[in-house]
Amino acid sequence: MHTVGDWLLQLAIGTSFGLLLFLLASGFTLTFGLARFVNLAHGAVFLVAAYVATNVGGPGWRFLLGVLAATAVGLVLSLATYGLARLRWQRMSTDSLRQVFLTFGVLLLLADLARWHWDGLPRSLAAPAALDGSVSLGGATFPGYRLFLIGAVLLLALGLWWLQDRTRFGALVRAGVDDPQMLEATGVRPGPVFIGVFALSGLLAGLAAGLGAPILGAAMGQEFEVLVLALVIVVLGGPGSLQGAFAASLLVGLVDALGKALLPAFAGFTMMALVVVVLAIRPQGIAGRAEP
Amino acid sequence: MTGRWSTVTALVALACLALVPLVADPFQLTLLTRGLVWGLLAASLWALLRMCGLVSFGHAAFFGVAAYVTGIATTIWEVDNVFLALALGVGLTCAVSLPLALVASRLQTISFLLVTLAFAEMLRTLALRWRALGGSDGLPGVVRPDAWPLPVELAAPRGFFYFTLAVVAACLLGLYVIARSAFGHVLVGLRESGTRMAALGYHPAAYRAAAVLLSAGLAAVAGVLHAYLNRFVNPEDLGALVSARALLTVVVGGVPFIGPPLAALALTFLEDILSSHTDRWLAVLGGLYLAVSLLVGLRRRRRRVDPAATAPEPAAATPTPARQP
Amino acid sequence: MTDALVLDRISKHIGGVQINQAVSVRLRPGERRALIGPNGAGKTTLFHIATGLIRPSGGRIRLNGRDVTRLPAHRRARLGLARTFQITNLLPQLTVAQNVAMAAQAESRSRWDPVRPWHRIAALWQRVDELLARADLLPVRDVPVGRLPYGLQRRLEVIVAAARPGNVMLLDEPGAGLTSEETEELMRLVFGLDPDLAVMFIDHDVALTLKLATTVTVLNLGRVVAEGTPDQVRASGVLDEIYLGQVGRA
Repeated sequence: MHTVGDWLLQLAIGTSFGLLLFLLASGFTLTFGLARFVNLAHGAVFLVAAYVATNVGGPGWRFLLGVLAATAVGLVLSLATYGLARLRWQRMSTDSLRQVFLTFGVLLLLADLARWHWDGLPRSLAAPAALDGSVSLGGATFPGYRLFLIGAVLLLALGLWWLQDRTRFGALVRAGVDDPQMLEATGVRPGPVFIGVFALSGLLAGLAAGLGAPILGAAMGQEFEVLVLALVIVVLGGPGSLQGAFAASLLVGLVDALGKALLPAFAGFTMMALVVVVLAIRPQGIAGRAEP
Repeated sequence: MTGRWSTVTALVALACLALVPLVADPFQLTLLTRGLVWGLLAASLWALLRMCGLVSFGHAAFFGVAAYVTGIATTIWEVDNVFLALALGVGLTCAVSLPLALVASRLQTISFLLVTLAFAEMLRTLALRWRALGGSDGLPGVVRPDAWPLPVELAAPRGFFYFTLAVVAACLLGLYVIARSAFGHVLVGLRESGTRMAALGYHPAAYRAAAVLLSAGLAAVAGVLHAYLNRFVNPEDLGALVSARALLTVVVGGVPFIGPPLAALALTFLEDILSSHTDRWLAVLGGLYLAVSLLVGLRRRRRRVDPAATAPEPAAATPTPARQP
Repeated sequence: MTDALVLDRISKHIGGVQINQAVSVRLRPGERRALIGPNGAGKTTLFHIATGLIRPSGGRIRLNGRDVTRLPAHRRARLGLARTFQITNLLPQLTVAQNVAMAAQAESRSRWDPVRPWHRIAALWQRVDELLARADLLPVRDVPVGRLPYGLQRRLEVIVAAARPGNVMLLDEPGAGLTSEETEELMRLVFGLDPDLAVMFIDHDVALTLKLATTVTVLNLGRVVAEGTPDQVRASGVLDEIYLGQVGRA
């Protein structure tokens, strides 16, 4: 890491990765914050969606098809998980241990089905030619796709913010995150809101997998790797908070990139150190609610 | 408390287990030993749940770190005594776990679960990438040590089985002693009402951290035994599957103290049968977790684990203090 | 003689709501101060701030001369501050004796002992039984608190707080749910424990508090509106104002 250009490149890599993680983590934090539901299956949803993206996707316009397919798959799988949970919703909604078992089971199941169907082999997808060039800025060369990714996800993040702050749906979600009993007391049936949130989180996971395919591809093991990072983001950002997840995603993405660039063998340590340091200072997370 | 019934079951189980080597072949004996080791890991997790109401999804971290310490101690530092290995394994694991214990003791229940899962997985990735630890191939050649001053031959399946049985029994007994002690009761108090205990002068986070370390130490003992049992350490020893397995046996185990170990024994045999019959055993395992989540009662555990009841934030015990001037 | 507890211009606001405003209270050893005022006056919040459960927006707290504003609840307890809760906050799965023991051993090193069976620490249980005898709770010594009748729970709530070594006691509506006679009996029990104990208590039975207290602080809408001996407060007429002409149960 000798030049400013090197640092800027790592910044871009970290930011683009962090933003991709944000898509994944935001879905998790929403279901967690609203339905008080721990959805570990999210990692496997990403994995399957990634495989679908690399299979369906291709050069030119087929790339878009791949992304759409991945998004659809994410949506369906997430709703399916919710459906399973609803079989015992009464018990499930209050028992996080039960949720852990359910979603971990789904994780194993989906991951193994993916291993079976795609022979456990990693797959990749080339970025569409139109976006694949390199861009020179400030003395450094950036992979064009990464810049596109940053732009695209920032737009999506804005969309999410708009959804949260400016729509009725968003208001319901925020109210539910703050005080679930209050939400019920206002007469709104939580069911449709939950379906919406699960659908959204699956959609975002699929989108992350599809958009991220040119960078991350699809490979066994991703279901745990992305899950762990998403969990770290949710805990660091404060459960239920999109703003917190956004800030934490950028933080995690940057620490990941810089860690790999500066101390390749100890990249894992830097992430753990980050978690310990942040939680030691603020156990409730960046945007979490402190004690009164 | 299940008192007498539990003691009788425990003694009967112990007696049965002690007699098994007379009828079992070396392979079965090794499998049984493996079951005992998983049982100890399950007991360590159960202990944490019982002491603090905290569910950890990352006990594989303590387990795996101790296993790796054992591997390194044996292959590089030439440690040849099982008690020395146990001391090193437990000591270093607790040292490494201290930051986690201190941070985790101030987290809410679900955050604790997620953070422990994340930690274990990060350690696993670390082990995968670290060449010096063997990377994805792990560390082979972890030869059985001697058991001085005990006259036991650990290299033989029978000797190692009896040693493991003794260690596990001793650990369970230790847990029982602690449960009856002042410290054990303080932990019960903290679980009942964090605010009341704080108002009495007890530092909730300090006790919770102590409980985490205690649990980590027990898991470390299991890790050391595991490394010697398999004569091999690999990154999967730090993986989520290990943590999940421990958690499953705790939930299904039911009866205090000996329930989780017995369930672990059963699960070990089940997994062995499963993996020899199908390539898709992970999917079947996933289905098992799914089934357990939907079908099993989880009654008593649920009361302990309900996040609203056990979250260590002061506002939980006294309803809405800020709204009642 | 240093003041036992000083609340110096305590303010608390949450969101846009002002709960306490510049509340100052000075509690001396041996004093029995009543904190009264209508619902919503900020009494319990003040207690939570004094004991460390809630952080004040402004002001300082001094315990036995030492500034404890930044200290967490358990540290303040160890410096001599005890409290009871408005909604009974005991350890339901443990017995009456065990609850008291938890308080009595809070300063002793044996509470960290992981080996010796708890019930074998003779000195501890002796002290526990002494306290239980004084409060007439010996008959229910081994009953799990969760199964105790409400009145006895309130008495235990007080005894547990008193079992801790300390010189300041804050009682938050000790008589909640009890009759006037039961409440008076409970309060006399507390006062009889130690003449140097500095006690501040909240209660809604104005007539009773004026009878039992040596000093009174009256809160209304988050501010102190009157202070002094019961006679002074009664004479000032402020109670009639804020309770809208009702004296007695508010």
